[in-house]
Amino acid sequence: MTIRIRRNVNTTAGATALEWYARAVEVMLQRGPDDPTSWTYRAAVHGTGATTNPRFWDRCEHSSWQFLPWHRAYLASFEAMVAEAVAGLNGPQEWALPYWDYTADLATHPDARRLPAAFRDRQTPDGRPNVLHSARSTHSNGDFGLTDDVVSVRALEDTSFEPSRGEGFGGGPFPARGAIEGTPHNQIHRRIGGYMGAVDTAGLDPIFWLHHCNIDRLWEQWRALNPHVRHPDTAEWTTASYEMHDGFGRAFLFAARDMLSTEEVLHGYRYDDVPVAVEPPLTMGFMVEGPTSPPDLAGTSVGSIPLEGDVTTASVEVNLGQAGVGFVSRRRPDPEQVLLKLENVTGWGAPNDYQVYVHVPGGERHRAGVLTTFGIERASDPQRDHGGGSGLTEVLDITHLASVLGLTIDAPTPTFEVDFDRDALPPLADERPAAMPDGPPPVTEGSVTVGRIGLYVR
Amino acid sequence: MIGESSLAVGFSIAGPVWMRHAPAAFSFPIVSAIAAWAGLLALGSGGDLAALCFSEGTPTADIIALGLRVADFDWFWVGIIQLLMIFAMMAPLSMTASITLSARSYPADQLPLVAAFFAGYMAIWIGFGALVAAPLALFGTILPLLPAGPVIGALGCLLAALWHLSPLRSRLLARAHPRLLTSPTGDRAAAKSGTWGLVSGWHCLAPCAPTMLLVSIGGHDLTALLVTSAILWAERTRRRPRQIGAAILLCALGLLRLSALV
Repeated sequence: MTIRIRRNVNTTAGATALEWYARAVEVMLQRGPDDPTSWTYRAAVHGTGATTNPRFWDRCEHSSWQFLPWHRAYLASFEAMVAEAVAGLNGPQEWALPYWDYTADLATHPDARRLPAAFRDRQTPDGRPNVLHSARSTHSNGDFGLTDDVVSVRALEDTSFEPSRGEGFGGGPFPARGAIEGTPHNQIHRRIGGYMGAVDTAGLDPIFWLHHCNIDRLWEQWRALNPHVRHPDTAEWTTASYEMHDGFGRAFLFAARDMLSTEEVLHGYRYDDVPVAVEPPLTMGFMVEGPTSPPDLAGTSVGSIPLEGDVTTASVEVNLGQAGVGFVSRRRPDPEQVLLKLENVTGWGAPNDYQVYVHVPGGERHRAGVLTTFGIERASDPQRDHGGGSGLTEVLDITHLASVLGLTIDAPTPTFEVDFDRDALPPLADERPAAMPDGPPPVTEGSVTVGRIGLYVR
Repeated sequence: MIGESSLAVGFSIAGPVWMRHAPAAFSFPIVSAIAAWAGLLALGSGGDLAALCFSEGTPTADIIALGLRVADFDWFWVGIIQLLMIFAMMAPLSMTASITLSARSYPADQLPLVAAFFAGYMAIWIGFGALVAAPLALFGTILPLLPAGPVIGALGCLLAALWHLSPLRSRLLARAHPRLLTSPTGDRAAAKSGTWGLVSGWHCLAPCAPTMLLVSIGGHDLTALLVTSAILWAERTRRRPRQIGAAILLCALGLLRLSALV
């Protein structure tokens, strides 16, 4: 079987793949909602408010270390179905899903962050409804305001898949979200908005698949950068099994460990700019080294914090002395690492993201990071997942701000403040996709409450 | 692409490393579970725990035909066996919550807060055990000796399998093991942790207790205990446990009980 090559949509070969993609989407849109190979069925597998097919629908994995493997299988399943449709249209037999690399260097790829042109207009040049159009936020020629922070690939710098010194590239057991899931994944979802802004509708937007294709590519890129780093060895990660459909709509079982070789996932694929990664062999080293010890709690906010209005401020009471086994007991002047954890972030709908700033009372504000809210409603719902309902957790590394906040052993500060600035997102440009006039209305409102702010040091 | 593997136990082989970093979280659940299993294995070396609960040794069909009396039971051992089974099965299920609580508490508070949580969680289960100890002892003693005993025992397993596949149980399971939403720091931290333990235990009771009861009506044997524990532990590690594996195991246990007929 030929290994499919996934290419950048902003290349000639990628543009050709996109043309066939549009024709296949048109075919899939015409299929009934009970057909596993139909457009609406595939979107419902990711998320839906409907409860009529609990075996296959509403199955997406977010806020956990299953995020990457589950979406890899989901993407391969979709790619196989589109490829079947393309083949049925007498298109190329080796068709593969193109990816949208919004992380590319603007100096050499000036349009990298613009939504590819084929997705923008309601109608095609010949006056027909454009099947690649969707309900999205207002943009200017495909520009959704994707700043450096939104498309940052700092996640690639994390040398551990699981939480260790940071979030880990891929995350940990639910609800420990990996770095790549937060940025750029979540931020891109919220910036594009409309269907993409909420888990239950995201798969209805044709750009969803090119976005996730890029996230999947970044996973391979991270593996290429860290060829000696193994994925989790726990049965909890390797063997948790899920169901998906192949290109013909036949169900199959998979687990995370089956997703570690892209050339063996269903039909097999690879990326045009990343070598195929190989899982390194198991050594005894990890038994000796083990995961880095977790940081100690050294301060908390009091009570939950509803985020209301454009800016919400909360105080964090610092108690470095309580972090007894941390840096204080080692008599280091500065902590080795300082993390701000936004814990039990609950809410409903599709609220805006929040820029997070820290400062001493009355002092200058310093940016700590972003609180992304994609998936908040699902994580806050106690009825949907075992152990769910506790919301999201956002981890922000503020080690570089330790001294300006007075988080030192010599002059510890008694309190500092955290500001949550609501991201200003543009309004919806379109309520409904051109080719799905009866589609569900996009969710545009929501609320956020931060359960607790925790300050952790080591 | 793979066979059903949802019953895989989710403990890392690197577990001892984590134990070093979060000793409070592991101390109560794991130590008490190991002690309980050791006690059960020692007491039930013949595999039949019911015999221990009977004052005159292993009950026979003749004794049962004459009518069992309450005085025939050794209620001290009934209580001990029930307690050990509760700790063996349920204590490990509190570990994830203990780790969360430990990680979100000041180092000096971790041990007392985890202890308070564990006490609350187990109090619910011990209370449940006290309520069902007597009827389970009766069932566990009498049923295996009745001609229809294996069939009833197998039927219990089948019902347990159906219970695991039911949407109601899925909903109840989703509510089990909520994560603490409020801070465990401050003056009332221990009370909050204890209350959280009670709430967690209560939510855990709804999906798990019927499974335990249905499996137990066929007898108090170590095989049933092991199967039930494996199922509950495995689904504890899953965000969306697939129940087909659990149902197959429970049906296999039912078949094992039916094999007593031949």
